[in-house]
Formats: sequence, C-alpha cells, structure tokens
Amino acid sequence: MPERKAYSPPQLVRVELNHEQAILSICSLTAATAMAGATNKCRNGGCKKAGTGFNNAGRPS
Amino acid sequence: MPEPRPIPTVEYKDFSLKIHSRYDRLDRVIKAQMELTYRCNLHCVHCYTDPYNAREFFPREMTFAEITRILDEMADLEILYLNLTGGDIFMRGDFFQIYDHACRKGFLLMLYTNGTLFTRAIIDRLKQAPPFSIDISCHSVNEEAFDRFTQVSGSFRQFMKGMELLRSSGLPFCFRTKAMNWNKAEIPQIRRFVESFGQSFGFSTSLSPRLNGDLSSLEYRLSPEDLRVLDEQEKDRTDEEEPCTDRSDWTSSPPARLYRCGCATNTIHINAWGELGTCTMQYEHRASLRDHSVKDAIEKVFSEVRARRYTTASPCGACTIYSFCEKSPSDARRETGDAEAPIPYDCDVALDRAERALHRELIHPLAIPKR
Repeated sequence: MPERKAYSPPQLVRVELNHEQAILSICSLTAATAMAGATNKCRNGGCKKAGTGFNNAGRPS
Repeated sequence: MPEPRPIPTVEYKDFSLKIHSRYDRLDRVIKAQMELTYRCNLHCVHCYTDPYNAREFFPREMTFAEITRILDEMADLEILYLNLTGGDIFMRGDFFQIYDHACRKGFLLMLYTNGTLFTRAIIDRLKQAPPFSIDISCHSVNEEAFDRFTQVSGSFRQFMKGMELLRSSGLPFCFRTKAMNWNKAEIPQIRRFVESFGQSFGFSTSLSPRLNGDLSSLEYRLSPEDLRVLDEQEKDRTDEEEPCTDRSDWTSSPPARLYRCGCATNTIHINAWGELGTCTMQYEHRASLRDHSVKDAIEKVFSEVRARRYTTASPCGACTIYSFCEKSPSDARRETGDAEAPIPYDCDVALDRAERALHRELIHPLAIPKR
C-alpha cells in the first residue's frame, strides 16, 4: 500500500499581488503576448515542454 | 493572552505556481474569461466581436442577474482568476455593480479594455478596489492610423487621455499589441511608447475570423515573411536569455486529438450571450448557461472537446510540426468549412518557424513545393 502523505495543517498566508510576477501556463485564451517564434527561447512557453505551441502562450496569471 | 503571530507573506509568483500545479493535478478549472458585452465605442477592423456590436444583438446579452448568478456558481467551483472583457467592459452601465460583486466573491480580477473610456471617476472607482491587472489594447500610436483602424475619429486622443489618467493612477496595467500588416512598420514606435510607461513590450500575431463567420479580419494578417522578420528582430532583442536546448519533442508524432492546445484543461470562456466554451475562439462545442449550471456546462463541453479526434485524412492528423502551428479547429471551420482541415496560412507559418528552430529544411505539411 502506498505510504500516506503526512498531514500538514492549513496555513494562513498573505500574498502580495504583483501582476509582473504572473506566470504563463497552457493557453486556452487568445490573449498571448509576445512570441517565441524561432528564437529558441522558452520565455513564452514556446515549446511543448511548456505545454503550448509557438506564439500561443497562455495568458499570464 | 498569547502574542498574535504574524501572518507569513508569500510572493505572488510562488503562490501562482503553487495554485497552477495544484489544480493541474486535480484537473480543475481555475480561470474564466467572461465577455460582459459585445458593445464597444470602437469598431476595430480586426476585432472578432465587432459584428455583434450592433443594436439588434444587444437584447441577447447577459443581464446583471444572469452574470451575478454565474459569478456565484464560479466562486462555488473555486475558480480564482476572472478576466472581464468585451466589447468594452465600460460600455455596460452596470459594470461597477458587476465588478463589486466579483470583488466580494474573491476573484483575482483582470480587466481588458481599449483604454479610450477612462475618466477620472472610473479611475477613482477602480482605485477603491484595484484589479489584479488592467490590459490595454495598443495597436498603434499614430493618430491617423489609430483612428482609421478603430473607424472612430478622435479615438486616438481619447486613448492618450485615458493612458495619462492611468499612468498617474498607480493602478497595475500593461499593454497588449497585435502585430498586423498595417502596423508592422510601427512596432518600434509602439515598443517605445509602451516602454515609456515602464512596461515591457510584447505582441501577438494570430488573427481569427469574426464571430459571424466574416473572414475580413484575416486580411490584416502578417505574411510568413513579415513574421520571420519580426521573429528575428525579437530574437536579436532577447539574446541574453537562455536558449532552449531540449528539442526532443518538437517534431514528435502528433497526438490524435483535435484540440492539441490547452482547451478543456483549466480555463472556461463565457461569451456575452452566456454560452460557455473552453477558449475565446472555440465555438465547436458550447453550452448555454441559460440552460445549464456552470458545473454541468463544464462537464458537458470539456468531455466533448476532450473526446474529439482527427477522424478524416486531414494532413493535420499526421503533421509532425504541429507544435509550431496555431491552428484552432473553430478557425479552420470558419475558414475552410471543416474543423479538421488545415489552414494553409498556419501551415506556411509553422513550416517557417520549424525550419528556423530546427535549422534544417522540412517538407511542407501540405506538400506544397517551395518557391
């Protein structure tokens, strides 16, 4: 039987909202910024490892 | 009495990463985009919603009661991110009633607007309970080109007035630019304008048919050659970044599923008529929230989208450069009459990008000989 994960009590934290720290995830909205194109950069999630196609990155959230 | 313990503070990026990872594991929706209206004071020539920005369509739009009911249901489902868009959100007289309701429900709010309707009163109202971000469309900084594109004389001046109000407001905002054939030469100026606000500049290039099936918006697409030039310029500007060296799955065997994007994963889209889908432009599968609860609509639409497979001999089914392709099934339906069919423009662009990324010649997905 797999070992059960140890219980950790819920924690109250304060989150400082900062939209400049928003992360990109898989796209399903047409609101992508910038493009990766053929620049070989992953900054915009421009390859499947980041879960999306070129120039089709997720909206930051 | 015990000493009150301070509440630990977490940086937003860590919080966001944790939320996304957690809900990915749980296979749950955490984001929603809601079009509050198709009404807009502008008539941008590339805009997919503008055909429904006409008086005869307004009675079909969601009422305040319908919107708040949907927001309540979304909050109950623990959806956290809510993007309110249009049309233009400020065209609704009850916008701030909707906004206040969404704030009370605890959503992280992202607002999309064209920026021309900002007034001191709107800015002050937003400052009382600031959204997470405000995204402003910025496709030109040239008065003549801006007004021609929006088809509204004086819109550029209104835009600039709005941006100055926003600049001094302290509210969080960023710009969204769509690079098209009519503004491609203006990209450096738009970049300077955006950067003058202390913002980083980026742009997208994909255009979709309009919601009523009109394809005129596609006339503003960049050619694959123009895209290559812009990509190269972008590459030159970002050379300080780490190149991605893992190309192992860039040309792998394609999955059989029709939706190879993030559709039916963690996001829903609700249009101004209360129809729920998986993406702004996904119209193959929708459920009306006038007949379904949000939960039931998600189950119905997500299972339909996830079940879709390539069933015909479409070249897309076997395309090995699909990860460079932006084809959306709904766009393909509107452009070619068949959701499985390739969109030749997307094939051209994907091939060009794949060849540059992989540094070798590839066969065109439609086996079109090179010129």
